[in-house]
Amino acid sequence: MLQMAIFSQFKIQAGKADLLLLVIVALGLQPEISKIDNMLFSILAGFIIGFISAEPFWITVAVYAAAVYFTLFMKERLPQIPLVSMFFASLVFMFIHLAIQAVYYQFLGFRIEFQSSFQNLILPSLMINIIATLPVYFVVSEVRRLVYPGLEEI
Amino acid sequence: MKISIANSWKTITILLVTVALILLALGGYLGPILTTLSRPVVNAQAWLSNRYVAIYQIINSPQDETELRMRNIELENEVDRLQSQIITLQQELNQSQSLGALLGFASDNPQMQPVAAIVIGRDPSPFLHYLIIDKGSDDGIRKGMPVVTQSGLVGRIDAVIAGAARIQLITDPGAIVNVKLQTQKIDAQTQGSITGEISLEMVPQDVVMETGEMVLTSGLGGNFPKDLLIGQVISIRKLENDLFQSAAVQPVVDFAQLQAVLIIKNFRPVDIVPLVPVQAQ
Repeated sequence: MLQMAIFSQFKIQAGKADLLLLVIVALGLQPEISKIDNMLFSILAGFIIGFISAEPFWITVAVYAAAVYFTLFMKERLPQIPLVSMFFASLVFMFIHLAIQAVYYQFLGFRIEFQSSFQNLILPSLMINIIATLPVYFVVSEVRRLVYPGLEEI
Repeated sequence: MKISIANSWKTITILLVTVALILLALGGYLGPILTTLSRPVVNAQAWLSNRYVAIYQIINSPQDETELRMRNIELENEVDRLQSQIITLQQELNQSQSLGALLGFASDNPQMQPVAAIVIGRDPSPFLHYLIIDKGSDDGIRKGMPVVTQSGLVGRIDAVIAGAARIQLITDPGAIVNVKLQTQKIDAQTQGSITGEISLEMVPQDVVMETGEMVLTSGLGGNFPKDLLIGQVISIRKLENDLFQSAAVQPVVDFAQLQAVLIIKNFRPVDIVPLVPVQAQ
């Protein structure tokens, strides 16, 4: 709802933030949440966005699931620096998401020039996502502390 | 007897002196003398009064300051409350102005049976230009219905659920609208783009277009009613080698600020796919 009502209106040129991708990546980096829960969150988020958006749902489901899988892999390999993993995973999968869409809409016959879409849409979207990454990570971490207070206290 | 005569003279003298003083005062002859005499008294009075006021202020000032602080806090709270009220009223005014304009359009075009809807969201994908509105199939909204504002064409209903619907804007890269120019009898198409710009395509090379020309729906294809305003030609691209010329169109609707829209309920799009001839294998 936040993504559709508010964050869809924050634009740099034609670029928009993908708040849900940032949230599921941030959730994937939290210590107490199990892998299965993370995968379920990502698939659910993909279905919800796919249901609301005119974008085909399989793109969001596939990209979100892959993003969370990659995040979990990064968490295992680099557990000490979750922020770097957050930046890296969100940037890479935001780019992949937009690139898949660009190719898909080209096949549908939309008039999309690669250079124009890269300059006006993909780069600005990546920039907004970079700006939103830290706040989203900290908000998700705070929410996780509220939901799973046990280990913090120990 | 002597005493009474002496008293009488005294009384008469006092009366004469009093009358004389009154007459002198009325005549203005005593002014300088009174001024000279009263100045020290007035100065003394002023000195005393100033000291009294100063002492009074010293004694009472802490109470006044506390009262002033309290009053200041009360007024600040009041200002905050009024400011929030102004913001709320401003929002309501904006919304009512927008709905009022739509109502004007609806009353001017009763044959369209328009239904007003509030914009509640936008498509999260940056490639797509879609809106989500708060009216759905429960309100009689069906797929394909045209969506307008008092200014002009917005788009058409792309998907419907019970309580909401999704509108494909004419700025969407997948949106193609059959149009005509107001002053010329030619048919063309507008197409959206990922940046939200609208271009006029398929205009024959021999047509002389001018900037400022109005672009209206032609009604061809059966997707939109005729004569809905789309925008104005702002620049023309004409290359001799191309089959058609094209132009950039400035839409009349401000899609970034869209808060409310009208759905034309009595227009059902025509599905012409069965009429399209199938090519022989």
